[in-house]
Amino acid sequence: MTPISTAAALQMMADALDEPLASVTPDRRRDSMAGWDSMGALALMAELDDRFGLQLTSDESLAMTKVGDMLGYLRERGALTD
Amino acid sequence: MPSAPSFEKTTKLVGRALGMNPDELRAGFRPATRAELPQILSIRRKILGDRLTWDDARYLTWRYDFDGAPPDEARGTCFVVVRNEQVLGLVGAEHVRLTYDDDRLPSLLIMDIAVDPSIEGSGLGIWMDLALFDAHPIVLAIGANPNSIGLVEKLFHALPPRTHYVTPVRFTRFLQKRLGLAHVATLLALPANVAVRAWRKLARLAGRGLELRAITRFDTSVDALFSRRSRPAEVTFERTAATLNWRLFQNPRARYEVIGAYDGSTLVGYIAAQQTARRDALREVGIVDWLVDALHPGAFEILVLDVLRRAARADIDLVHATPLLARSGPTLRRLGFRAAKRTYNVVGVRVADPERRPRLLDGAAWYLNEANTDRDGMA
Repeated sequence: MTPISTAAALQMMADALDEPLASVTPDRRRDSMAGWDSMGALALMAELDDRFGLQLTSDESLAMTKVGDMLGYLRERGALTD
Repeated sequence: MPSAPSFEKTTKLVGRALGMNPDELRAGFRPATRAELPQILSIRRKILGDRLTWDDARYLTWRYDFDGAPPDEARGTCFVVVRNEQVLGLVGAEHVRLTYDDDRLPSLLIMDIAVDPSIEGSGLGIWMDLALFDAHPIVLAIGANPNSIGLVEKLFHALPPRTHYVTPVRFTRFLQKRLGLAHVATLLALPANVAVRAWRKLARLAGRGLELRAITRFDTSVDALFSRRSRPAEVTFERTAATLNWRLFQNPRARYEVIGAYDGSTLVGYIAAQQTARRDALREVGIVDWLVDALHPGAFEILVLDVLRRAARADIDLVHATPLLARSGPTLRRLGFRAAKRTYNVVGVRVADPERRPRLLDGAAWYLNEANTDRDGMA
């Protein structure tokens, strides 16, 4: 696994969810992001699998209510450098 | 807009989320058996809740041939994903034939998609769509609900949405409901009622010469009408006596009234409509399908006027139609209909054959109607 910066993680989320980077902030709620639907969740699962070999489960994915939860998930697994 | 990961990648991810390897997931996706119907009903009950107001077992048996029609005669199939004999999700689809010019293209029209709420977030709904794309050259989705609109918009090529046309039959009650002031509404409605009635009467005079009769069962005359249909270059679903009898007269969830226009003994057009009640207590009639002979294009207007006349007699408040057919707009507007876009009237198509794509992805070339959906007038 090659860890990435928080900024790069936010960029990864913005790309996967098709949201403007400026709007992908740790406090942003999932239910306010049109792109974080079932397709967006699947795209994130694919990104995490491809980049880090992380197997995000559907329960873990559903439990995430804001962008910061995804950053926390990555940090706990050593995928963030900062 | 993000695209779905590849089918292969999605199979790996979704299989993993469900505790199945990719081969198990692929093998678990197949047409449902009659024995699995109770599990399917249970999933639909969990999702639809109190919106499920019909005999769903009877409805699904009709729509997806659970009574065991031979595979080549099946009008619909309910595909399921099964893990250890447990149904995890389902996607119901109707087998249709798209036609334009002399081509007849077997296609799949997705009707229902549902995943057991206990595995929500697994991506199974997306995977089932991709699995259908992998096996069928042309797949359509007409209409969506709040749960499925994102999937339709992201997985399919979007055709122009169907347009919702609506007209009051009598302005008085319509305005009373809207304004809540009976005297004001009556005053406002008076000139509108007179003008619309006079205009529709004049328009009806133009239709003299055609005889209108109720149709209670289609025969081969409708097959002949389809072959003589107006604008055969348009992309539309093939109409046959068998498909129309099934769709309009055997549907256990809805009753449709069909009127035929005849020139002598020749069927030159038909229109199908359904009476429903709305949550705001207004009564409405929805026009769900029509077809007219190329030599009698005016039959459409005459048939719509007949629906309006019958609606007035039955004390109906509104008549509406929701086609994807740009050329119907001027006629409907002339008869007093007004257009409104509705969020969930999306139409999506996936076409594997690159040679077919230019024609099938051109929204201006299509004619679809409410009968091509599974709404059946449900709210």
